Amino acid sequence: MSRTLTRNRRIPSVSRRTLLKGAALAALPALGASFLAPCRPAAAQAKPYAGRSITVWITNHIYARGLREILPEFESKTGIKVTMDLLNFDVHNQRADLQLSSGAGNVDVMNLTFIFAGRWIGANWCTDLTPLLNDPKMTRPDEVDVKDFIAGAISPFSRGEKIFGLPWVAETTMLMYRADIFKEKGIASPPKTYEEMTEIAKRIHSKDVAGNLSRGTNGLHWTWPNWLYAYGGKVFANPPADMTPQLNSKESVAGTKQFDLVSTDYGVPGSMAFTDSDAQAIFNQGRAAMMVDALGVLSAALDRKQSQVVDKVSFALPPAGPAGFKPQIAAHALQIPAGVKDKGPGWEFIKWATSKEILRKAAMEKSHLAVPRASVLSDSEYKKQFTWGGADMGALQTKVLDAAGAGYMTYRTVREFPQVGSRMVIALTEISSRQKSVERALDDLQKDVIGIVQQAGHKINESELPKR
Amino acid sequence: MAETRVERQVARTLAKRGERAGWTRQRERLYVAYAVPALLILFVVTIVPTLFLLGTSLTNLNPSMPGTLRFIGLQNYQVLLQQDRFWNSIWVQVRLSFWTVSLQLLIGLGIALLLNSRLRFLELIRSLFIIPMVLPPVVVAIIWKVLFVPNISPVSWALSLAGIQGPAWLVHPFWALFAIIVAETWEWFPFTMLMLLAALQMMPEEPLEAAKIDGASSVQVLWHIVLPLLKPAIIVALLFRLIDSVKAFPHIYIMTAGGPGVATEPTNFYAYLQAFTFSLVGFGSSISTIILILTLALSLLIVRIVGRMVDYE
Repeated sequence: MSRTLTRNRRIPSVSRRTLLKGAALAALPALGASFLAPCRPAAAQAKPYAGRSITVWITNHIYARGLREILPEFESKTGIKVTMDLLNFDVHNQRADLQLSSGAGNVDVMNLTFIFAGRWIGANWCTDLTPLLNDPKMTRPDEVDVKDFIAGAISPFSRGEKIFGLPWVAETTMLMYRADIFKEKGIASPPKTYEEMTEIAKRIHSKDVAGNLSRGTNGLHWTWPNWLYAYGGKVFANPPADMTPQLNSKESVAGTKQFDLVSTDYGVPGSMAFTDSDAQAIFNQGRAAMMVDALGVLSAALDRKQSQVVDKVSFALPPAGPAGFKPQIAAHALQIPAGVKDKGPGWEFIKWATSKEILRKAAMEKSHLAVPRASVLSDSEYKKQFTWGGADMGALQTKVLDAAGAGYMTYRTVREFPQVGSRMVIALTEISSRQKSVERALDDLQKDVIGIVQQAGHKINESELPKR
Repeated sequence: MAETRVERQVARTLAKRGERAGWTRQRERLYVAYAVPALLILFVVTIVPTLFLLGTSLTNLNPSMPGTLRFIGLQNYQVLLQQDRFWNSIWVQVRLSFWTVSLQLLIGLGIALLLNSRLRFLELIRSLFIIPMVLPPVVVAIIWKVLFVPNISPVSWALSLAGIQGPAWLVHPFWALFAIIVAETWEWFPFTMLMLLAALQMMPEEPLEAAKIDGASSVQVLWHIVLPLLKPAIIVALLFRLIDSVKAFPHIYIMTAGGPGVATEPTNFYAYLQAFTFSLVGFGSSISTIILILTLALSLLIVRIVGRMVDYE
């Protein structure tokens, strides 16, 4: 039958030997390429990881949402398929903690959260990225300009010469205020001190618009320290060397009273239960006149799709207290969990996502203001675009980063901070819900935090314990 | 020597007995052979984790600190029993269980009595009442969280129409617990309703008719006939709901995260925070062990009470 068909269609007959010779000749270039491929640097190959899939976990932030939109660019450039999960901050940290502790390697890239940096890096759960950075096969010399990252943004993820994460955000606390309401009430300028802030909040506060909005739940251990440190209080005596808690000092009591007054008495009712997205929604609806928080949280007010106050807000440095100007900073990075076997595809993603080009794009197109790259912050286009309500955002951020670079932020990166921060939230909500007085809540907080640091193996320096 | 007739009969009887004893033994062996795999699986999935939990509770295991798996005896329990936060969590659990179970039983019973009819319309209504129970608890928690957020809360809006300013529900220690009790009751009263409705529909007609003929009022029929006959079903529903109430978690996690302060933090939530948020697995295990002991004691107590109160004959 087959012979008949061949004959009928006049297919030229090919001998077996000719066929084998032809096949061998055809395979030669491909074979040669496959031998040569390992000799070429991975970075130099166009798509060394084409066809691979990676999973990325990152906190739900304006930057991450923007990154997801431009993922096709990365996928077509590298051939790597990315599944990107945007998780609520607390949910991410909890899942990441479990995932990292299990040693599993099924999430290729993960957020390296500021307050968990001490704990995760200390437990050897994060990959040291330095060998990847220094390997010309993995990284072109001009591909990652580490020195371009602001020192305060990359130092929490470095241990000596080793780097465990590349930052994508350098959060700084700022004061966002409603310039239209200030004008209407005849308030000439944003408050310079926390007392002034309370006075202004009192003046503005009404049933429709609260004087101030403080984010609740876990956001409290981020916002409250602005007041705590500005009033001369501290979390620990001298972390990480001396972890003696300082939470019930008279300075701490004074700062907490001021914070409670402006957050509860002149705040949005129920705000102590607000997550960051709840708080953003309330501010964007025009229900509050001031808010001190991370720029990444505040910048949601600049999103024209969601905010009714885009052209009504302005920004200023957070107020100062009796002990001076003590704003807070926090950086987050992208890391490769230690359990990931093939780190190449994840590294490609990190290089791309934290590159100057992508971070500039996130800033200019998605209002991701808190970029950790000096080249973007000093960019004339950035300055032009983000001079908001008369406030030069780049200059404000630089001032905050400089102030917080003095070293008082180390309390946040110690291994015990997540537990201490959670206990702080309990104390602050006990105060705001009037279950305890400020003094009693802080005494109880101090007692419990002493227990936490002792349980972690630290010694309490009796002479450093606060006396009120 | 020839066997007598009596001797032959005795021999036959003994042989039969031997056969029977052998058969009984074989049957017993077969039962054991069938039961052993199931018992082994049960042992692996229940007893082994429990033993692991007990073992872990005697260590300071913290996966974020390598080398912390060290035997520390009863130290975790000593620390725990001295903590105000632990005792507060027990007290929160007691209040939560008491109010949610009581309300679920009362509302479930009331609606079951109202729906106890074979009318087509009421059957449709019955299906509607089941909706909260089939929703995922996380969805229920989100619904109620939205309902209780002051600025957007329809509850606060409805109160404002009546000139009452609603509280900041989820940040007030009393109202936050109240909100969780409401959400938990709303989700689970259909369960008690269904159980009691089934019992009502199985109830014999004769005692009810006899009581009516004797001139008993509706209240008297309910009190003296219906409720005593429903007692077994009520107790079983109580037992189920009580055990389930100790597992209340999603509503608390979503609505209040245990706050304000620790006003809505029951013991299981406290254990979760310690073990999974702070990686204090050893310490968290000691809390779980205490929850296990308390739940077992409660279950045994209820089973004994049920045994005394319910006459299944």
